[in-house]
Amino acid sequence: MDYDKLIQSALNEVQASSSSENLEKVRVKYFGKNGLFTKELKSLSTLSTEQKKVVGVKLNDFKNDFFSKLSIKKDEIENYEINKKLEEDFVDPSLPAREKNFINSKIHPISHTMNEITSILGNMGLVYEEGPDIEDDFHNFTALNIPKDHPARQMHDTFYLDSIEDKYVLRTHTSPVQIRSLKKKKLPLRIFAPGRTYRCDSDITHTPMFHQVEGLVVDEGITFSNLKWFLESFCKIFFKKDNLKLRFRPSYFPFTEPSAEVDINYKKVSGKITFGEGNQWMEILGCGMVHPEVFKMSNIKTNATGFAFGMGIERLAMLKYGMPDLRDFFDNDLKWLEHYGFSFFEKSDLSWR
Amino acid sequence: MRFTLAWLKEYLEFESTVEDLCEKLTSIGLEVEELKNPKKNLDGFTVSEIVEINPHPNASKLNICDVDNGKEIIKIVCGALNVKKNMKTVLANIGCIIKPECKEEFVISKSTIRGVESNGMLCSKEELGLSDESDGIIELDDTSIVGDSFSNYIDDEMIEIEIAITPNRVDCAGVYGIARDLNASGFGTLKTKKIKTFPEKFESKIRVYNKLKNDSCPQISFRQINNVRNVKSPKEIVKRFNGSKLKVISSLVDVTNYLTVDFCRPLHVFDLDKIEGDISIRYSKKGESFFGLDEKSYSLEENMIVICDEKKIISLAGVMGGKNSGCDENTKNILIESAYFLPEKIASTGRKLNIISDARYRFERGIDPNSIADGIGMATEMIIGICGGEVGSIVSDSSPLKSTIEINIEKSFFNKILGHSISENFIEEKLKRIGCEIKSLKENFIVKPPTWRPDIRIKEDLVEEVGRLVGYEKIPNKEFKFNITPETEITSPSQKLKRNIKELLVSRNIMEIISWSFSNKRWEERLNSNNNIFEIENPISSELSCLRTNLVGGLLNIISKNNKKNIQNISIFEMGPIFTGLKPGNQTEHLTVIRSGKAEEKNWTSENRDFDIFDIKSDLISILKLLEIPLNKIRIESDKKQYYHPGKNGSVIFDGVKIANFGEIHPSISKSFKIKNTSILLEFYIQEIFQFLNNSWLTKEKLSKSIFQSSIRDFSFEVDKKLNSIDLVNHIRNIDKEIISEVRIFDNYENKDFRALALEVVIQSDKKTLTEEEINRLSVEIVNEAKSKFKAKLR
Repeated sequence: MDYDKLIQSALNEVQASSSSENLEKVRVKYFGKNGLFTKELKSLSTLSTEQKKVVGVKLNDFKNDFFSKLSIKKDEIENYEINKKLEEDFVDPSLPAREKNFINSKIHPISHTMNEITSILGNMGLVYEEGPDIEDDFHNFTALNIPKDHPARQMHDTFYLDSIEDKYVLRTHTSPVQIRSLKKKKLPLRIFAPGRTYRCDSDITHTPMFHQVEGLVVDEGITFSNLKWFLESFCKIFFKKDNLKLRFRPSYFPFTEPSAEVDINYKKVSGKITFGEGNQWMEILGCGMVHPEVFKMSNIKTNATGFAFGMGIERLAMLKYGMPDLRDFFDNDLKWLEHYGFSFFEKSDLSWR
Repeated sequence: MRFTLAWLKEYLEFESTVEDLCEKLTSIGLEVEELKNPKKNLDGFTVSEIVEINPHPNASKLNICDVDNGKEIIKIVCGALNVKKNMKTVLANIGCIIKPECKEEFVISKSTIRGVESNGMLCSKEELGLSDESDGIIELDDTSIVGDSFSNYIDDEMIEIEIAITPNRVDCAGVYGIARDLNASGFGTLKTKKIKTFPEKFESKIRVYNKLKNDSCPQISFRQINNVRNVKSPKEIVKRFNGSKLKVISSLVDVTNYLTVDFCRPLHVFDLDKIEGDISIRYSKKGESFFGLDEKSYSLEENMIVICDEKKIISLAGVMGGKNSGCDENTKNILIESAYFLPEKIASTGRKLNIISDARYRFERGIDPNSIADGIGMATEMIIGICGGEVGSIVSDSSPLKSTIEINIEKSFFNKILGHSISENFIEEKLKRIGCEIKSLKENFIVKPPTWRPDIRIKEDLVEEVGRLVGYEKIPNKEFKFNITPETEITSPSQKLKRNIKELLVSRNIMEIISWSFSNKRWEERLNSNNNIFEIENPISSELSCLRTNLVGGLLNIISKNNKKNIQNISIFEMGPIFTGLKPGNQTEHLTVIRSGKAEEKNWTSENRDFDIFDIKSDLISILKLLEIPLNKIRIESDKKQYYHPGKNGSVIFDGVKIANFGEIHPSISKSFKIKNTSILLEFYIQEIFQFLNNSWLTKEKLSKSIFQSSIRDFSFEVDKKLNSIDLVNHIRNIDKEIISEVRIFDNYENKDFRALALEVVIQSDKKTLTEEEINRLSVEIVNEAKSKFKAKLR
């Protein structure tokens, strides 16, 4: 048997293979079950010890050589084949991504603003309270020192819920929570109460439903100058402006005495409003020292004093975030919500904002 | 309250600018809402004379005017109809800015009008903001001097100020009161009002019977004046009224309106010849009718104050005079009424009859009860001056004036409230300036407020007066701190969870919306399962006439509105109150989610299917997971809510309580909201779930994990089409809770007459590795149980 010739042709065939199938055929031809060398290797046992040694070594060397060359060729071919396949495997990466919705959902700006207010007032030591949307005459008016036929009642365009005595109303402000908290809780008291409020009024600057947040702090020694500090701190943090100026103007609310309205300063340059600069004033909230009648109506006998404040949440949102029209808050146009709303990642909490 | 600068200057002397005045008004609590000062816009406008007029060669309606502006003669093309030779008018020179009230402002420049050069503009009153109407260019009188700046010709009667009066400050519903308050704050010098007295020429024969003397009409006086002429008011008054937005009627009426605004002293003038017999003041009876000066007829309720003669009601006291006794151009003899009525009475009458008048506004806030005689005196003086006539006697029927209250205030109280110490002298001086009588004791002041300040009743009112006159800006800010204890919870567990749920849903790409708490009858009839409709007595519109009993109507309406804007695939939610009655506390909190349209926007990667109830169920499960509610304790049943698709809905029961409903919205409901797309609804009754929440999750239970191998067996059963598959799942799990750790449906196949469910059962023990034999035994049991309890055939 001329091993050398056979060896040579086997190695040549490995080298000449151009596909995996081809290469496999070569392997089977020489080393398969009935391969040419397999037979030879089997027939080794028929040889003499002397011959066995010579031929055996030769064949084994060749076998090793064959398989190593085969493996190299195999890799070569596979690489070639992968690359060839990839040449045809193509996608247009500029095609759109898998996206479920075109509109990006957001937290409503009122919720976000409420969260911000909650975080600031909470950090300043006030606790979140809630009160009902339907109120009785006592909590919404009488206990707040607004008796029937008081001119201040005309300023509240009240929604009435019963015809006979006008006893139940949709709350016109969040102030009734003051009374509910005073009646329920012990002094010292420091609460804030955001929520829905209602007035029978609808035009460019009024919607029949809107949101307010009420604040109430009652403790020994609380003064008007504390109120001033408190609200100035709140406004500076809310608007993120350390140079923000506040103007306290005497005003009137039946349930506070003295009462004030608070303006913040701004400048308007070509339609753009910047707070904390300039000397124009914008009203943002009402406040005052708790009227003694409010304590009396809540059955509280105390030497403590207190302050209260209330502000419109839509207004604060509009001033801070620049929504031009109040009515859009409740129109729920999805494009508006997407634009003015807040991602749930956008943290309103003081420590993360 | 609107007045002209000249009016205020009648009572207050000051040097400051009108801008400074306005700042001061605002700072003492009389907030300036509008300042109209035409002077500001008149730079470069000059008094000029038209010296020659020639018709425009190319335009029949235009003229070419030669105008003398004091320096030179210039040519101006003008289209006004009233141009005349030698007319003195106002010229806007090149560079002047015209700021008309309602139009855009523009700069005057040299221009060529139809081929003729024009070097400025002749102005109308409207263009200079002096009037609302335009009737040609301004015609100045002969005394005007050519070349003068026109701003010199704007007098204080043309500078208008409007202030907002808070309900407590009735004393400033009169120009005099405003001057008094400014003076008290240290601004300007007050000129006191002097009232001229007239000798009475005759004794009035009229008798007054005031039946409410000890009740709601403590003070009332009348003065008769004979032989007046109800002429037109003089031009000074007309000018002042124009600037103050008061209606000019006739001199007699104008006098009463003048004094209402001037001295906050509402008055009424009757035509005496229309009064039959004596006068009485009494309460109305129910159903009596009254025809007012506003030409409207009112049906009175009982206990309204009326002024009557022997035949009829001649005035609704403090609110409005009667047409039957009012003055007209023929009025000769008159009766002036000056009175004080109890504020609550006037307020209730005005409110019940819905009459808004300047008199009511002041009486219901409480005018000065000590102004009766002054009112008569001032009216007499003005009427004699304008209308002539003979002054008669005054007829009254009043009770003695009540002495005003005395307030005892500790001197330290100012500091206690304001947090700022103010000197005793300052306090005394300021309180005196606003009209208080004040007695200083060792520790206290005894203060008697003036009769025109009914709002000053308690100590706190005095603190406000002093604080306001000091200026709130002078009170320093003082920091204070609370102690926040470890137990302090700023928000309650349910408040925190509500916020988390909102953020979870937004993260699932559902938009948060906030809609009205209102609903309407149409929605309620369709969507309210209890048939209780909660109507508002005075709704803002028929669309918002009820309180909502669920959030579905509002959300569907929003979907419909957005569909119209061609946004079709919508996922929205609202968390908010719904109402269960009309009393405080009759409300609960709902969370409602709707997904409408396609689950994915049209795209190239997958076919775009509609949202179905399993999308919304996945939202539901995500919330339950957030709330850590064990899912295996949830039961899901079909429900019968009328606005759901009867075959595609479920209710969610936890511990015997229904916590949610979900399903496809009934097609007829979608249709009624004009929604074409399939819409899927989830109503989550969040308030119900809060009772189950364990809010002390500080330490967690130890996680137990089996270390033994688990096996999975799949089963495919042919089942009844109406089978509630969760029942089968729960049953199988309960066969052996020890070793069946999970049962999951992974396929549901249905055709016309056949349904198959494929289940994966995970079998694992905590104690050992299960043998093949044990697992097979369990498998047989599962098949048998499914067959016997659910008629499920193994396939």
